[in-house]
Amino acid sequence: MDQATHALEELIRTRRAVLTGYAYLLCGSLGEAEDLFQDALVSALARDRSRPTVASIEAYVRTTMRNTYVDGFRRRRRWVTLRHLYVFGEAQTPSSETTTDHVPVRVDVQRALATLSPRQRTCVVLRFYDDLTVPQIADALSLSTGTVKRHLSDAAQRLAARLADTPPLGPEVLDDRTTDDLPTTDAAGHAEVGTTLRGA
Amino acid sequence: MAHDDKTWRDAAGRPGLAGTANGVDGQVAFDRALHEIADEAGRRPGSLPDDELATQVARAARIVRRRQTTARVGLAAACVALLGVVGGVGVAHLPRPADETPAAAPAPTSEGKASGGAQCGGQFTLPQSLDGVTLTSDVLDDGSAPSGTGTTRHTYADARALTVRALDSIEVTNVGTTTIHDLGGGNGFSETVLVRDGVVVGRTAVYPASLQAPYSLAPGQSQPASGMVPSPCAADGDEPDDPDTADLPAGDYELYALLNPSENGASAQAVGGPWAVRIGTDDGSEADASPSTPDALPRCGAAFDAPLPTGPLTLVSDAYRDSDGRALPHGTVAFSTDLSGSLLPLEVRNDGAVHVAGSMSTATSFTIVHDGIVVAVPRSVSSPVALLDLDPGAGSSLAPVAPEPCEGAATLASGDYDVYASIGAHLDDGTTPLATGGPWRIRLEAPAAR
Repeated sequence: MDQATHALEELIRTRRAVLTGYAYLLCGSLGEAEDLFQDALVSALARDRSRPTVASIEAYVRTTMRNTYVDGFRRRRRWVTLRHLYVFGEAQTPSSETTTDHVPVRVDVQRALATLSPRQRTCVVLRFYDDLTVPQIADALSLSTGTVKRHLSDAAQRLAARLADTPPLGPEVLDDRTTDDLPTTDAAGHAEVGTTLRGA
Repeated sequence: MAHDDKTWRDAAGRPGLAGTANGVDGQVAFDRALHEIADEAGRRPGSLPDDELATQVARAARIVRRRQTTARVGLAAACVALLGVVGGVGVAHLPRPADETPAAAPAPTSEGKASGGAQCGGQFTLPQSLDGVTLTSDVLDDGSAPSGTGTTRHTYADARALTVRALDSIEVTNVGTTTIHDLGGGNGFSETVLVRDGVVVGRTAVYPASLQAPYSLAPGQSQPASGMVPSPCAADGDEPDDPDTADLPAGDYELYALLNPSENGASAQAVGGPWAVRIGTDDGSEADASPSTPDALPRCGAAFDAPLPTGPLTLVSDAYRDSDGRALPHGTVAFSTDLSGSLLPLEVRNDGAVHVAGSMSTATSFTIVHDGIVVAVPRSVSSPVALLDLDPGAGSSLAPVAPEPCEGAATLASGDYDVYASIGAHLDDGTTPLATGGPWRIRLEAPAAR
């Protein structure tokens, strides 16, 4: 067994859970996380390196997963949208798309993360999971510090809207609304203009 | 490592994550939640055991390395202009032997020998074909010799219609007399190449990452080897750079499918084609080349790209509820083939954790799909608007608008179809999420049969 294969097996045996969890944090889907991890492993091993170590492969895998998620998100999404058109063999059956996480706060955080753009989400993961500073994030993503700050600021606003004590939009918003600004056509007659779809 | 103040605060300056909408009180460190989420996901078992994953990754990496080497060789070969062109085209149309000397396994050949050229903008040259293995399609084959080719031109609206209707039918078959081992490793799908006037103008750019174990084929056995959707080469002849933003230009193409074996160092591949295909509408007019994005309007005859919800709102159907009133995603409910009346009673539901306020159209956009192809599109109507005021988990009924059968038809044929629905909303926070629902399985029956 060559050193690369040995390092690969060691990495999978000892670091698979951590790296799959990291991928899940980035993309929010177990199936996608597995794909990200496998893609990055293949990419790492296909590099022209004669003596990779577990640590060097892991570092490369983490970077590749981040870059693949940020830069290849739309491309990957295209495959996801096509995926249902194909019949998968037993070995290709994707994992379920979400965890069975029923802890309320974590569910809330996951839902809030889902509202972020890939770049915002990656910045948040690097900041709050990897514990990197803004300059370090900028270096990792090849961005300016100003851009990273903007992404983090935008992400913070979106997360706060989801996770704050009081939802920023409440029924009182509707109290001030007039129907004058809304379209007034109702050709199909299915609903009156200004009808409120109110849920209990 | 330096630490900034990482406490999240909302717009009013309060620490974040306190007292979320589902009733959890007290401040929770955001980074701790992230670690718990990652840990939870990492504890889930993967689809492959560790040793099997390592084997598959190593095998896939070898394939990638071989492709990279082949690409470099192919690029160099493309520089040998005239000889390469004539030789390549000649090889492309030579009948492949259907059954030669039995091969115990795909025999690796020397690097560069007959290595196929499938680089964008370059002359296409067939790779060396694996002995005794062929790729065929019961849709594209027309009985021409050799098998796995077709000169009858088939027309498809776009690349995905081509994929769903034709490429999905591709199979790899052992036409030899001995078992062939180590086929289909990597992902099990075949790469597709589109050629016009001998030049590669499109090829597969997106591969599924899921790994599949290689398999063996006994004599006479077949295995699905669906072709992956091709994307157009960039204008400068470069590789497809963004499959999201470009569809194949209308026109006539020669289509090839290539399936890599798993053997390290093997340059021979299973080959299918050439098959004659036309991209464009059936009447010969140019196909709509607009970007095919998930929120683009569905087009008659095109493969349907189901949009995903982009916010907290989802659409559920009252038609599919169990005896306890719980919503079911699938079921079979009969409707009239003329789509009269309410196709599906729908409800918009707030699946988010916070209250939703805004407005949305009540004109639900229904799309009806058969075998992945759009057969009825949303009807163009003026949009009645209603205000939204939904607590988390709450829903409200919508009145559906029947879709319009394609090609001016008054009715659709009796049979089973899949229905998708989508509506755009304008929320008071300034976002414009798309609410989606489906697929729901429906059965259409002629009025007399109902």
